[in-house]
Formats: sequence, structure tokens, C-alpha cells
Amino acid sequence: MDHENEMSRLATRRQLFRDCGVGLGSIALTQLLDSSHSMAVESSGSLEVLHHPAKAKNVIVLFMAGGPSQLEMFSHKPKLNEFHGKQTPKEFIEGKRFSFLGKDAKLLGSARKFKSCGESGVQISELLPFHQQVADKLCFVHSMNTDVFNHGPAKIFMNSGNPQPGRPSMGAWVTYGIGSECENLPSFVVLQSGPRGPRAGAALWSSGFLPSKHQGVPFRSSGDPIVNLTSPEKFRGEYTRDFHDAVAALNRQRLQATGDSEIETRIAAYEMAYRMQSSAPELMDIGGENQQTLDRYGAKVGGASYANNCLLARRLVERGVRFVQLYHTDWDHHGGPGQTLGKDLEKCCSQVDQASAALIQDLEERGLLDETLVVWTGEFGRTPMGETRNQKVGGRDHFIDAYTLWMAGGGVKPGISYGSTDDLGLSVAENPVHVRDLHATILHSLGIDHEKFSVKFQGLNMRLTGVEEAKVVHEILA
Amino acid sequence: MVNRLVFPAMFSGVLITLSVAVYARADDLDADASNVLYNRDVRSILAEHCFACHGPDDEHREGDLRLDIRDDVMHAGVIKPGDSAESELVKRLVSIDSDEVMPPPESGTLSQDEKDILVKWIDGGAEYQKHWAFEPVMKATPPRISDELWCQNPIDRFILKRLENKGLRPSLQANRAVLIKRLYIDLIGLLPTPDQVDAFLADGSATAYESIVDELLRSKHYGERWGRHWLDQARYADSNGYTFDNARVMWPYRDWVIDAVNQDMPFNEFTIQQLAGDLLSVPTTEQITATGFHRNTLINEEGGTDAEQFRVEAVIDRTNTTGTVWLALTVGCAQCHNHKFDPVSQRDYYSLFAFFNSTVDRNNRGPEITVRNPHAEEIVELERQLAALKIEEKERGDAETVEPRKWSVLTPLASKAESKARFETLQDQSLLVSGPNAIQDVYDIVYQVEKGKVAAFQINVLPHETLPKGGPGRASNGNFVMVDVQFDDADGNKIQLDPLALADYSQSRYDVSLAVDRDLKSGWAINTNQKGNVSHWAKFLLAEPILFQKPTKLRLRMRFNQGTHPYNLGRFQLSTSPVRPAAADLIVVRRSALEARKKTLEAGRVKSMVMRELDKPRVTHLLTRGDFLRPAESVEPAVLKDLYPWSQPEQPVNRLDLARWLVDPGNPLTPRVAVNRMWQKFFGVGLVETVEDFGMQGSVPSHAELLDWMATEFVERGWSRKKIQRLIVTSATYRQASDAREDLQEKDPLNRLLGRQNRLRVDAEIVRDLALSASGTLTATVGGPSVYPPQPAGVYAFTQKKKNWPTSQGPDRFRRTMYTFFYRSSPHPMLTVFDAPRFNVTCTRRGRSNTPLQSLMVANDPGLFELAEALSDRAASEQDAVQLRLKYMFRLALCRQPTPKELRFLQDFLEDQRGKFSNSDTGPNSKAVQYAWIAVARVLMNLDEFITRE
Repeated sequence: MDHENEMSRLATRRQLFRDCGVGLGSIALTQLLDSSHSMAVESSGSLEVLHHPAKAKNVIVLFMAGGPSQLEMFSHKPKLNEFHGKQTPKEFIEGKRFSFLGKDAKLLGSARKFKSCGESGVQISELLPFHQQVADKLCFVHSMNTDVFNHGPAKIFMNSGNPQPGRPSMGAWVTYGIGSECENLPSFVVLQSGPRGPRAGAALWSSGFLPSKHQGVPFRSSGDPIVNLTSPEKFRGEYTRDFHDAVAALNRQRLQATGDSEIETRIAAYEMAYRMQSSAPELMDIGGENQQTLDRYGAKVGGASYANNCLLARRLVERGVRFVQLYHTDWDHHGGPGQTLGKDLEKCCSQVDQASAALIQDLEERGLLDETLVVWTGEFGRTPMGETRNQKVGGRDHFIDAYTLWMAGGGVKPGISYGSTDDLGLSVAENPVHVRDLHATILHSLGIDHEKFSVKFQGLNMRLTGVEEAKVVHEILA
Repeated sequence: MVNRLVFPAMFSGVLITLSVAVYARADDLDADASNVLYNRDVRSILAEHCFACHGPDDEHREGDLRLDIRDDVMHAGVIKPGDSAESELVKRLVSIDSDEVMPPPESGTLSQDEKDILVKWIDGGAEYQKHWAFEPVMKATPPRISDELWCQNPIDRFILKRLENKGLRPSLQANRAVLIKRLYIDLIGLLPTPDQVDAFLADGSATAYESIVDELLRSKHYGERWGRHWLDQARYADSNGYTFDNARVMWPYRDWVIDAVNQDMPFNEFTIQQLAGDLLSVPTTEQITATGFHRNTLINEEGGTDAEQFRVEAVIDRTNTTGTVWLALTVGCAQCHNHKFDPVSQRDYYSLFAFFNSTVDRNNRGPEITVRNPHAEEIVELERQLAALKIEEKERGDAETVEPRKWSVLTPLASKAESKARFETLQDQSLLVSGPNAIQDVYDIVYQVEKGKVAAFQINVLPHETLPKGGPGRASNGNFVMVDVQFDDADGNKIQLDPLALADYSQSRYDVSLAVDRDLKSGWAINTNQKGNVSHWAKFLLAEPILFQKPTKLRLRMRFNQGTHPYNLGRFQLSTSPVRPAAADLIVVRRSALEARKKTLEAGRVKSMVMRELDKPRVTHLLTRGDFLRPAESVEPAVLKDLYPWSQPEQPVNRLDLARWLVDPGNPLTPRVAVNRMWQKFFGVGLVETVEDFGMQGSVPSHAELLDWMATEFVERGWSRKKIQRLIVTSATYRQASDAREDLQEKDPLNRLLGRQNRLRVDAEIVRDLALSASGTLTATVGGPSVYPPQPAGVYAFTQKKKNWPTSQGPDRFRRTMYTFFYRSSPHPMLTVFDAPRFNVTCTRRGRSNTPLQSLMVANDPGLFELAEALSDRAASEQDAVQLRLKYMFRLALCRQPTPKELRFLQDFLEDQRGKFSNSDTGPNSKAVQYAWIAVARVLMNLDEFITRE
């Protein structure tokens, strides 16, 4: 092992608690939640004080890229099975937008068996046996709806409240607003798994018009997590510190001469880079986790998977990283080859089921679930109508009118279901929750009032929730 | 009111106490006090106070009244043009009844000035205007300003006017070292050398600055820098995109751009060639290559894709890109529905789409053009020779076809070798070689020749048991490499040979003719591994037959050289013939040799993807909700006539007509859009910040009249980009210092009024290009295939396929970064980390982020670190003394002298590092000093200033 890595291991073990100020103890959280006079945000957020006491301080978004089918997983519709193969009612199809379906699409029942789980009795399908076990910790929203039905725009919408790229993403807004509690790692980290990266790519974790330090930093799940993390040979160890000190000193001289605040940002960026050189490898090294933990997630040392990423997500929030986002591809089950609701959906489910449940349990056991809001979602759901590809009805089209997501921890009521759809799952029957409402609710749980949290850009007061009405879903908050 | 307005100085004095928002509007009034214009003065007031309830939004409209459309306003009767006192709108504005007054009390109120403006506007006739960008370009008169001396050209008057109105002074001119560096970076993207900086500092002439500008505008690197900006818009890349993302050849198009920009091809011409070069009458290869612009669309090579679907996607992208690049309109919004803000209906969209809908390519490489072959001249020459052979064959007939019955074997008289190898004459007069066997050798043999005619020589190479594997050569496998053959007559004159030699067998790439090509690195060999250790012959033809009047001597010299091992000949025999070999045979052999060579050379040709029209155009349909599977009514190609009229050409119309409409001098958008994008590159922000959107949703110009003035100049100066850029960089505005100023920070925090220059972090490519030029490693070659500089490991961790990345060695390793091979799915991390787009779609404005990942890149990237090492070496080779070397290195990197404080700091740092390295790296070969210097170079390259245009 080279000197630098060794140093970093030693140093970060020691510094973990000191610098990040989180770890197992929840001192910062306690202050934030319980003590009315310490509502001030400690770190470098733009909000001087929170708008109200926070329920959560970290967010983990488990993003199922492609649009998972609620009808095969969480939304049990016996009536749909009954009407399987029937023409979809005309009045429903009129004016609806799909990417592939024609007007003659027929209803498609679900082949999956559902089970009533836990004390709450929530219905979860056989595809998710591990979810079934943690059902009482989850809060399901069955009445989600969004505006856009193509993957890229829908993902960007889900992340930034706008279908075109260029606006700040949720993670950027959050870290901009309440800063970070970890100075050794970026405040917003993105991990990905599955056969490819999510469509729309970096636009999903962009900082938009907010300062660029708030953009999400993608970590590769194996090898050097970040490109060029290691100093050149001969210039490691103390030479790395010397290098950074010298760069900072000369940058400060130039800052004095020019008064350009961008140099301050540059100085901060180099400082962060230095800290990342030791903390990132330490973070990624899951070798120190006990076997029981690894097994619970299904994670493998040296592996790259959604399971590993879930474990990393816990390690990240443990270190005070504010916003963690996991992308898992590909959930776009239209029915064509590799996209069936049969084995292809089964594969996706088996890749995420165990680890998602393990994350909830692990966070809870470590006392982190209370302060961490976990959101499991796609960019949209899938139609109750079947889609025909290659002459077979094996899938469903994108569906924006009614789909399901779940949340857990961070002040969300466990073991409840909120909102409902009609018997066929064609539209929301009660308590619709729009993506904007979700955004408002996430911000609310972090102590932020979405209406007051705006940034002036091009003459407009820009908000994550945009100009149209958005409401906090108080009913799901504890 | 009117009286106050005509005394702007007094007016502005009064206004100082007012709020910023009002102030800004007053500035504009100053510019033209006599009338109030809807776009400039009125629209923002109505938008701020009225449109929320009386605007375009159907859902929130109150009282069925909208104030944004004149007809509606007149219909409702709330405004009486020319009579504000009788206008309901004004009555409501000033009403004291809280139920009457507008806006409602809880929604705030208009300032007195705002009310005055509305009154004046109504009194003046309440004329509405189209959105500013759709109004014709009006050449503005540069305003009068108080400080004439500051202005270098009319640009400055527009800028100064707004500053003066706000009570602000422009900044001083930047110091000269900053100025020259700024020009170099902006115009060519490279650093000036310390000598170039010194020469500029020493040049006291009035034209010193201008001559640097002109020199840089002439530089071949100018086309690279400004070509790169254009290539962003062209979404140029070296791969097909989507998930497979295989490599493609499009660099000839990239080179076309560089070349056109260097030539300052007029922008209208530049447009026409790229959009429709193939449709010009008798287009040149270059003009066709230019149409690669719209072949930079993606190709999906996945199995099971519907080619039509991706063809349509490409056409959509061509339509949208055209809209963005030339018109700065988000026409793509109209793909599924009528544009919500701009005058583009869905029908308009598909009419525009129709121009691009009839090309041959269909989600494939499609038509290509052979644009370049480095051996093009030789191929032409070969073709000429082949044609001549054909004639020769015809003419010659059977005249000389008699194959000599008998070759006369010559007797060797003397023999020697450079290596002192020994020769033994065998019974058949062949020579057998033994003894020293050098890596290269020259045999020198004298033969006896009888009198008579000699038209050809034949060398027989023969096996022998004493030779390795039986020969005929002395290499371990019995082969040889004969790199040269020469015959001299008795007087020592070289006998001229035909460049074409014949052999019964030549090893691949070791053709016998290579023994008479004067190249001592290439030669004849016989591949014994394949053909066995058997005899072969080679025939060398005399250029002109010689008639020996009496017996004489002849000297044969053969040179052998394989490079690394002895490949000399072991046994050989020489004979002559009085006639050439049969002409027919000769011609056949000669032709096959020429054809083989031609084929080899032609494999080196480069084909670039281009546009070509189908013989019969496709019918274009409006696509319901943009879905290619749901065609609706058919549409004909047509431009956006509502935007700018079109003198409809004769049917059928094609891309050429579209291109001509785009660059019609009266088109309100194209010239504005083009000059705005240039401005953006010199100041960091366009006069219209949303350089990609001039529509209703875009931002309004900070200096509308300057924009129009420049747009007019652009067209009047023959669409010359160099002329406009020269204007910009020679303006006093451009030359200002970029240092922050407190007063500006307070009154104009975003620096939109340009009371100073901006400090701008350079583009991704330029970060590395500056390192290349500071370190003196830059390979200045322009154009050619893309290259593969080093990149960090693990780049392909998240791509579907691992890409071929044969890291360039030698000069190609140090080419400008714009030549780095660009895979859309996994670009070089250097590029993405510094905000280079991925070129899936057009890009008119790059982000400029500042992140820890960038720090890690410059600090640790092996490819950049080796440039820090080179910078250290370069300084070392020029300067020995510590202080001088430090200063020199500093100047190489930052183009200015270090301050005493900086110098002291660096000296201490150097000492500190040297000390530390000495502790760990001891002994006579200690590299401690070298490492310490590299540490300094690395620090310099990591400074904010190094990657910033100040």
C-alpha cells in the first residue's frame, strides 16, 4: 500500500467524527430538532435559519430509471385483472398522452401475486419479498403524477421541477439551502448501477444557475471512485499538503489583487479536493464492514452493484453527506426484448429489493433513519394498458397520471399508504400528489419552506417547485 | 415632464436617490427621450404589474381582459390611443378608490415614473411592437457621451452611455501584460511567449496593440480557436452516439471549419455551404464536405432499431439545431404543439423539418465523400502511368516481344565486402559468401563483359548447403534484404536503371523494385519461411540499352540491411541479355505493380459523411405529438414566413433556399444572433444572455442598440467575422481591467453594464492547450485525424463498451486538445470536468463551473502532470540561476512578472521542497532538485490565474 493511502486510512478514521461531526451520535441533529435557539444552520447554507424545525437532515433518493411498473409491484388492482384484454374506456384515452400506445390499447392485468404485509397490511407483490418484510417502515404514495412522459425530460423534471435541462436539481437546491455537514466529501453524491447510466446524464445532478459547487459528484463504485484522485508519484503524502498550501497561498495573493470572488471558490475547491483524496477512498472501502452487514445488503467487497451503492449511501449519510442519489437502470419495460414484465422486470426487482430493504433496516439500527429521508421512485410509472412489441403484449408504456413511490425515515409516517387510484389504476381517485408536491414535502422535512426558498435568476424568483401551486403533503409527515 | 427629459444631466441628478429599477428605465429614456417604445419602456411595466391577471395565461385571467395584445385592448376599450386622460387604464391607475384602483392595493403599485411612461405611451398612440428580436434590425446611431476620449470605436459609446447614466465610470485599461495574454487566449487559445510579451511591452507605437490583433487574426491557430466555438454548435464529435457509440470519421468536416474560419469565409457563404453545399451548381469537394454540419447527428447501431425512427430523430435534430444556431429560436417546442410563446406553429415546424427530410442517409453512414488522401498526388501520377502503359501496350505490338533465348552469365573478376566477408567463385560463376556476416553490408564485385548489347541484368539468388537453412541468404532463415543495387561501367559511370524491376517472387512489402528506389531502408526479400529455400531471379532493366564496342568491365554493388540482424546474400550469379524481357510480360508485371501500389495508397483515403438529396423527395407529414408513427396532413417545405418574409422561389424549394433565407441581410435574427455569440466569447456573457433563445422566453438585450449596430456592421462588412471581432477587441470596453470594483459590485453586481472586463475561466480544451504552450511541448500541426492523448485509467467503467484508446506517442501526444478523439458516451474526462458538452445536441453556451474535480484533474492528471514536468525542463534549459529560472517559469505560465511577494514565496517553496526531497532521495543521482522544480511548475499550472483569462 502506498504511503498516501495508508495516511488517508489512518487520518480519516481519526477525523471521521471530528470533521464530519455526525457519525453515530446525533448531536448536530439534536440541536437542530430539539433546541429552538439553535435552529441556525451551522454550515455554509444560504439560509441563515431554517424556516421551521427540520424532521430530516439528509436525503437518499433511490431512483429507478426507466419507470418501474407500480402495477407489478405496489399497486394491487384485482379489477384490472378482471378486465384484462378489454378495450380501455374511450373517455379515459381521450386527451391522454403516451409515448407509444395507440388509442386501441387494451387493459393488461398483472400476473403478479400480492400479499398483505405487516401490521399495516399494505399490499406488496411477490417480486419484492424483502420489501414485504419492511412494509411497516415504508410510506407509500399511490397517487403520484407528473407532467412529462419521455425519459430524459421526465427525469430532469423529477430532479429539477422543469423538463428542460439547466435548472438546479433537488440535491443542488438542498445543499445550497442548508449546506453540508461534511467537509471531506462533496455534499451531493451520485452513484449509479445497472447496465448504463441514466438518460439525460449530468443534467440530473446539475447545479443549474446555483453555484457549481452544489452540483452532484458522481462516484464510481469500484476502483478510484473519482478520476485523478491520487497525486502523482513522488508527490504524495506531505508533498500533497505542501502543494495545496502553496496553491492556496498564491491564489489568495491573486484574490487580493483582483477581488474576484471566483478565486475564493477555486481555493475552496482545492481544499475540498485535498480532503477528498483521503476521505473518498476510505468511504469506498467497504472491507471494514462486518460480514453480516455485507450479506444483509448483498454487497460484495470490490464489487459494483446497486447493493454496494446502498451500503455506500448509508456510509455517505453517516459521514454527513447531505444528499445522496442512486440511479439504477433499466426499468423501461415496454415488452420488447430485454424489456418484458416477465424475467426482465424480475431481474430489476431482484437487483434492488434486498438492498433497498437492508438500507432501511441498517439506517434504523444505526439511529440514522430518523434523520434521513429515503425516497424510492422512478421518473413515472407504467400504463394499466398493455403495450405490444414484436407482436406480443409483454409490457406497459410510460404513465404519468398515477403511479407509486415510497418514502421512509426522516419524519415520514411509517406503514401508511397515501392517495389512491381508481379500480383500474387509470387515474388518481383521491389525494393526488404531483412531483411539485413531492419537492415541497422533501424541502419541508428538511426545514425549508419551498415558497420562501427562491433565488433570483433572469429577473424571476426561481424555486424548485416553480411557479405553479405546490403543496406540502402534511398527511404523510409524522 | 417633457422639459425634464430633454435635460438628461439634470434629470439624472434628480434620479440618484431613486431605486435601481426605476433608474434602469430612465437610462433608456435618456437614449431617446422623445418617444416611448413598447418593447423598451412599456412592456416590462405591464409584465410586472398587469400581465399576471391580464396576460397570456388563460387560466388566471381576470375580467376577460388581456393587455398584451393591442386588438384585445382596443376591443375592450380600456385604452384610447392619443388620449390618456380618457383611457380607462389610466383612470384605474390613479384612482383613489380601493375597489377601482389597479393594480389592486395588495398587489403593489406603480411608481410615478412608471405611470408617466404609460401616460406618455398612450398619448403617443399606444403603439405595440413585436417582440424586440422579431423587429427588423435598425442601425442605431452611436449615442453622444461626455467622455469622448475614452472611446476607441462606436461600441464604446453604447457601453459608456449606460455607465454614465448610472453614474459609473469604466475601468482603466488593463496592464499590457494582461492585454496581450487576453488577446492570445481569446483569439488563438494559446499563450504568448515571454519574448512576445516583452516585444509588446517595448513597443511604444500607437499601433502596437492593433498589430498584435492583426497578427493573431492571421494566425492559423485562430481558425482552431474560433472553429472550435462553431464546432460546439455543429455538435461535432468522432463517434456515432447512443449506446454503441462506434467511431466515425468526421474530422474532414472539422478541418473544413478551421480552414473556412481562417479564411474568414463570409458568414452567409459559410452558412450556405454547410446547409446546402451539395445543392450548389457544380459543388467542389470542399463545399460538399461542408454539409457534414448536419451529418453530425447520432446514429443508433443497436440491433433491432427502426432506421426510420432514428432517421426522423436526426431530421428533428437538424431542424432544431438550425433553429437554435441561426435564429436562436427554440423551434423544437413546436414539434408536438404550437409554440407557446414564439411565432412558430406546429405546421411551421414541419414545414421547416421538410427541408431536411429528403436526404439519402437513414440512421447510417449514408453518403460520403472522399475528401483527402495524403498520397493524392502520387495516385494521380500512378493513374497517368497506367494510362501510358495502356498506350504503350497498344503501340508496341509484338515488335520486341522476343524473350532472349539465352542469358549470358558473367565471370566475376574481383570481389570484396565492407564486412570483409569472403567470396568463393563456384563452377557456374556464382559467388558463395562466407566469413564475417555483418548487420549491414555492401558487396562490390567486378565482372568481365563481352562486347555486344546489354538491355537487362539478371541476378540469380541461389541456395547452397553451406548457407543457413540452405540459403540463398545468410540470415538464420536463409533470407536476405537487398536494399540497393547499382551497376557502374568501366569508367565508373552509374548505369541508369528502369525504376521497375522484375522478380519471379518478392516477399510482401519487399518488392524487388524497392532495391532500385534509392531508398536504403527498403529492399527486396524472398520470405523463405513461406516460399522455401529455393532459387529466385531478379531482372533489372537498363533505362537505355548499352552497346559495348569491346570487352570491358562492369561493377555490381549490392547493399543489404534489415535493420537489426544480418540479412546478407549467400550465393548469387549475374547474367546479361541484349534485349529487354518480353514487352507484354513486362507490361503485365509493371501494370500489376502499379495497380497494387495504387490500391495500397487508395486505402489511405478519407471519406467524410455528407448530405445528399434523394432523387425523389419524401413527402413530409406533420407528426402528431412528434410521433413518427402518427403522420397527419402533409406539408411542403417552407421557412418561418411570419418571422421574416420570403420571396418564394420557384418550386420545388430545397435546403439552399432555406440557407439563403437565413442569411438574407434583412433577416432580423441571424446577424443579431451571430454577433451576440461572438460578444459572448469576449465578455463571458452575451448582450442577450440567452444566446440560445431570442424568443419571448429569452432574456432581453443589455444593450439593444449596440446589438443592432453591430448586426448592421456585420452585414455591411460582408458578414466578416474577423472584422467584427477586430472591432470588439480594439474597443476600450474590451481592453478594460477585469479587477473587481466596489462601486460596480454594488450597482451592477453581474457586470452587465461592463464597467470592467470579466475574469473568465478558459474552456476545457484551452486549459490543456495553455499547459502545452507554457511547457513548450505543443505540436502546432493543424487538422488531420483525431488523436489520443493520455487519459486516466477507469474512464470506461460506466460505458457499454470499452473504447479503443491507442494513447498517442510522439508529436500527436501534444496536439491541441480540440483534436482529442471525442467519444460521445465517454469523452476524455479533462473535457467533461471542465464543462465541455457531449455534443449530442447543439451547444451555444458552455457552463463555467468551478469544482474540486477540476482541481484534482489539473493537480493529478498524468497527462497534465507530464506537462508540468516539461515546463520545469523548459525553464531549466533556458535559465540556470534560481531567481532567474523562477521568474522565467512564472512568465512562461502566467505571462507576467511575479510580484516580489510571489517570487519570495516561490523561492521559499522551492527550498522547502528541495530540502524534503533531499532527505528522501539521497546519493549521487539524487533527483531532489529536479523534483523541487517540478513541484514549482505544478503549483504554477494549478493557480486560478493559469486557467483564467483576466
